[in-house]
Amino acid sequence: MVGSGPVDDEIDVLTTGRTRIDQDREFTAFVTAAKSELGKTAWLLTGDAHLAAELVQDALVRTYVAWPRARQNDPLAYARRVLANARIDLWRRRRREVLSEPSSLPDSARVDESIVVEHRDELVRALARLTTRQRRIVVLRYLVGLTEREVAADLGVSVGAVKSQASRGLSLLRTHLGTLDTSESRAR
Amino acid sequence: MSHDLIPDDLWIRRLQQRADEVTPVVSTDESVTLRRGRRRRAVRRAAIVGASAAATVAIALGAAPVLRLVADDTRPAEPAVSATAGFVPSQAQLEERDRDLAQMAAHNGMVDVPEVAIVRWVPSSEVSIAEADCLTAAGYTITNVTALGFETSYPGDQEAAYMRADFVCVAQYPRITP
Repeated sequence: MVGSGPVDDEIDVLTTGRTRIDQDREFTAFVTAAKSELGKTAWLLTGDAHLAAELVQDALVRTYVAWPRARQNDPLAYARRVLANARIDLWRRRRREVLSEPSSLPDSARVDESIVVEHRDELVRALARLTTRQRRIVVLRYLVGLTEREVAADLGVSVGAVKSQASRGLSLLRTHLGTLDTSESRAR
Repeated sequence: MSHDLIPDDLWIRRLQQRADEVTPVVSTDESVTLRRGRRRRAVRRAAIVGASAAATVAIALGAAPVLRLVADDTRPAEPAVSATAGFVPSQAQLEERDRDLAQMAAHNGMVDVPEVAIVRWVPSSEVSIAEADCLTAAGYTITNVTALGFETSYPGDQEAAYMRADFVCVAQYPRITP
C-alpha cells in the first residue's frame, strides 16, 4: 500500500548499548516535534487521514532505521523525502473517506464544521486532479514551503522540472479552487 | 479567471491558510513507531546475518554456528585496550555506573537484571572497543569497530538475548567519566 521510491533503507552502522539508548531518546523527541508537520504533508499527499497516518508511521520507521545517518543532516528532511516518494496507490479510491470524518477535525476548526468539511473536500478534489508528480511538487513547494532546489533534491528531479510542474500545478489548482476568499465562501 | 486579479503569492498564502484550516489530525504514536523501528532494524540485521552465515557454513561445515547467544553467561572477555586495571573509581563514578545500567535495563525491557562484576574500568575513548571485544567473546559477530561504536548483526527474534549480552558487557567495562 505504501512504499518508497528513491529513498533506500539504510541500516545503522554504529551502535553500542549506551548510544542506542541516547539515540532512541533523541529519535522519540524528534518524532514528537516533527509528527504534526509530517502528518500535514502526508495528508496533503494522500487526501486521507488514515492513509496519511500509515504513511507517516512508515516514513518514521525508515528514519529510525537510518537514524545514525539521518540525524547527522536533517532528519525531518529525510522523513519528508520518504513521504514524498511513497507510492500512494489508493489516492483516488480512498479520497472520499475524508469527507465523512468530522470527528478528526482539529478543535479550532469545530466552530464551523460544515464549511471546513466543504473546504477540505474542495482542496482534496483539486489536489486529486493533479498528476502524482505535480501534486508532490505543489505540496512540497507551496504548502510545505520548500525551495525549488529542495523539492528537486527530495524528489530526485531537476530544478527545471520543479519549476514547470509547480507552475502548471498551481495554475490548475487556481482554476479549481477559485479565489479562496474565506469571507466569500462563508457568505454563500 | 481570478488568476488575473490575485497575484500568485497572495493566492498561495490563502492556499496555505486553507490547508492549515482543513488538515485533519493525523495520529502518530511515538512508542509504536519506536517499537516498529526496532523490529524492522532487527529483521534487517537478521537478513544480513543470513547472507553471511551461508558463506560461513560452507567453510565451517557443521562447526559452531556463526552466532552463539548468551543467556546468563557473564564470563569476562579480554578487550585489547589500554591497561587501567589499577583505576579506583570515586563514589560518584560508581553511582553513575549504577544509574547507566538501571537506565539501560529499563530501556531494554529486562525483567531479570543480572548482577555483573566489574572486570575493568576503561577510558571513554575505549568503551566501544571494550564492548565490541566482550561481545565478540560472547559469540557475536562484531565488525567495523571504531571509537564511536561498531556494527553488529543478529537474528531478529534474538534481540532480547543480544540486549542482555550487551548489558553484561557494558556492566563489565564501565567507562571512566571525568
